[in-house]
Amino acid sequence: MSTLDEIKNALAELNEDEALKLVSSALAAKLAAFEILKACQEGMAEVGRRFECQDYFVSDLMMSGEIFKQISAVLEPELKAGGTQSAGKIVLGTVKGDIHDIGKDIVVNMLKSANFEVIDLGVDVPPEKFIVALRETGATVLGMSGLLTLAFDSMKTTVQALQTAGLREKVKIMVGGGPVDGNVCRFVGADDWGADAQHAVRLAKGWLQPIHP
Amino acid sequence: MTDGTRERFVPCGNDRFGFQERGGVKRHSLLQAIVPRVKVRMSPSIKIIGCAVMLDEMRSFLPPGADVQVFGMSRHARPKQLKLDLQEAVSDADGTYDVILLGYGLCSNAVVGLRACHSRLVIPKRHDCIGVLLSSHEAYAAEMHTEPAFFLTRGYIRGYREDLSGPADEFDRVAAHHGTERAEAIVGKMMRPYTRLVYLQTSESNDAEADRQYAFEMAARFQLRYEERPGSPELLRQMANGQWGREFVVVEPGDEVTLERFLN
Repeated sequence: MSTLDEIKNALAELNEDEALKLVSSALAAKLAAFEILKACQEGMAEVGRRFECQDYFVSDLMMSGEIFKQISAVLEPELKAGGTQSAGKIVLGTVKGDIHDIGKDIVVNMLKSANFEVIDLGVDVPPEKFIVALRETGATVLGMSGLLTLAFDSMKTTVQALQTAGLREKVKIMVGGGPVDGNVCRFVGADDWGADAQHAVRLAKGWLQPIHP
Repeated sequence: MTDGTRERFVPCGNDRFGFQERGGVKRHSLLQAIVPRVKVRMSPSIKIIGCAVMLDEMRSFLPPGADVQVFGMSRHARPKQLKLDLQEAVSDADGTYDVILLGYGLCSNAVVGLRACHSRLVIPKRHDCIGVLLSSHEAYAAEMHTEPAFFLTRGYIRGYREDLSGPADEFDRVAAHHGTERAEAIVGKMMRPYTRLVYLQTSESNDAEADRQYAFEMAARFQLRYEERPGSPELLRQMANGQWGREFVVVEPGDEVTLERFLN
């Protein structure tokens, strides 16, 4: 088994010490940081699959997020040393009336590891706060998260607020969270929805880096 | 999402269960087409498909003769799979029963898209079980828009005991694999958004005191302020009794459950 496969498996198995040790070994062996990152993302995808199959619990998802966050911190200097500039800016938050952030935080870490500049507004974010952040940062992508179905009306209100503020045409909007799907995306007026954190990264790349490897 | 679309069947001039009264006898046009000489019984046949949390509250007033299918509480953590499982259950019951009562609310969006081609679907028009058991939209809004609360009902407690899926169980699981410090960090983060634990008490049962104690101990363990609220299964009783007013989403055969039916 290759080192990259071992990294993927260690993350999928939630073996924190082993995963970090393997990442350090891989860097010492001059493996490319972005290849190591890709292996970690595959490991995260496997964790998600095991959660859907009921092999893993919510705490396991969170544990994988913690391991990924540590690995991202180790890889960050190497990724930046590669000379790549920021992939773009994204404003992200859990909408008003919802205080859950587990999934959102995993998405934030995944986007940051993909070299996006993420403006994380936290939870229970009212529409005005999203608008201020978009204006101040010049970000052209907005991500809204929610775990409760109460969040759907808040997402819709936020999209309408962007319309009123004259920002809707300038900003691409993605929505995500456990209950979110295509129906919800249409209901709230977003451009797309992310089934998981990896999907969110692909959407962001598609919007901010139309031509990317 | 499995597309179970079949030829749409919409009877005309029927009562809410699809029966027409002719010559003092109630007949069902679909069944008459199949067996024209049979006089159909008066009461509609009912299938109840529901979450254990809801069905736990319905035990004392289930419609006589209703078939019941129970889904575990933990399925809510995987709403997309729950949607598929519910459609499979609805499709299995479709046409065999006149009415399918769903013991769910909007529940993580799992009921949106469900469709039966020959049976009527009835769902409480609420976001979730807490909304159902608090009985009014105003009471639900009052709770959800104040301090963040971790809710417990006797059904939740029973589910946690059976599935070992409660916060305390998650703590023990993480501690066993990754150590106490990690467990405190992870489960602490899970519980961090909440400042209070609200035990929604619906009706007395033999386990009432034990359930209250479970809730109280959970609040203490995670440093949440303990509160109690009176809940009521009245909405579920209305659903079981066929009293489907505007507090319910009633979907005719061939139609699909839509998000707009819950949120508009």
